[in-house]
Amino acid sequence: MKRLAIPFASYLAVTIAVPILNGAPINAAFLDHAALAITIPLIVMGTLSPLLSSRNRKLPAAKIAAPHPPTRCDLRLRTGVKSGACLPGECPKECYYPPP
Amino acid sequence: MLGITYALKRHYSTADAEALQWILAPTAWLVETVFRAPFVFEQHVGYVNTDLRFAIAPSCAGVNFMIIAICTAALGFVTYMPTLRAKLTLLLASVGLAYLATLGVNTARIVIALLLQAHPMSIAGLSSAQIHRAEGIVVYFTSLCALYLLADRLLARPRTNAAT
Repeated sequence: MKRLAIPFASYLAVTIAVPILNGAPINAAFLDHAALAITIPLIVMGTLSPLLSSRNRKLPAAKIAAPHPPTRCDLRLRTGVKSGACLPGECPKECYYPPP
Repeated sequence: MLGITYALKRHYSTADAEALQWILAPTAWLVETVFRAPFVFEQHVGYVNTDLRFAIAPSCAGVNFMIIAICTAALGFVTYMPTLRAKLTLLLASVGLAYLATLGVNTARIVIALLLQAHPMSIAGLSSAQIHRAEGIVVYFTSLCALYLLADRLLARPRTNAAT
């Protein structure tokens, strides 16, 4: 919704605010037009908003964090190996690091 | 930006079909091409197809959409432009692109309106005039949002690349 604030504000300014400032008669036809001009963009924005937010939803931090080789301490904590790096097959996939 | 949009709005509020030829003529040509129905220019009315009982009149010119598109582009992307020269380029480009976008979007709106006229439907108790108006708002606003998001994506990408 927030990303579409500028198009929405421009739309309302030109279709509603400017005619009012120019002295357009505020009769039933104008109110009918104003009701549609406010309601429909809100519906469109409400429809587009979930699409935009799902596209922009960030991945969990663990998945987007740049992979870095775990330290020996990390490996000992995670795998229980007392010394050296973890051995192939002993480490969970996410902390696997080939032994030096 | 305000000067251009004010001048455009002032011109639109007083102009007749002859004065709006710069936008009505290409729109009518595009509608003719897409819908394959001839539109003939009539003085003080606009482009008319008597068989379809449809007129592309000054009120259908889409100048308000063009003004909105210029405002949206200028206000939305001015912060992306670091120099005065870039800001002026943005303003001129937004006028040109808003004109082209108006032709495309207005053609789509008129073609949909012609299809709705050929196949009338009842939506939520709205009259045919209200449906016509609602269709215009849906097409205009959805297109405006789509163009804005597309431009935002295109302008933001080089900026993000430069930052990394």
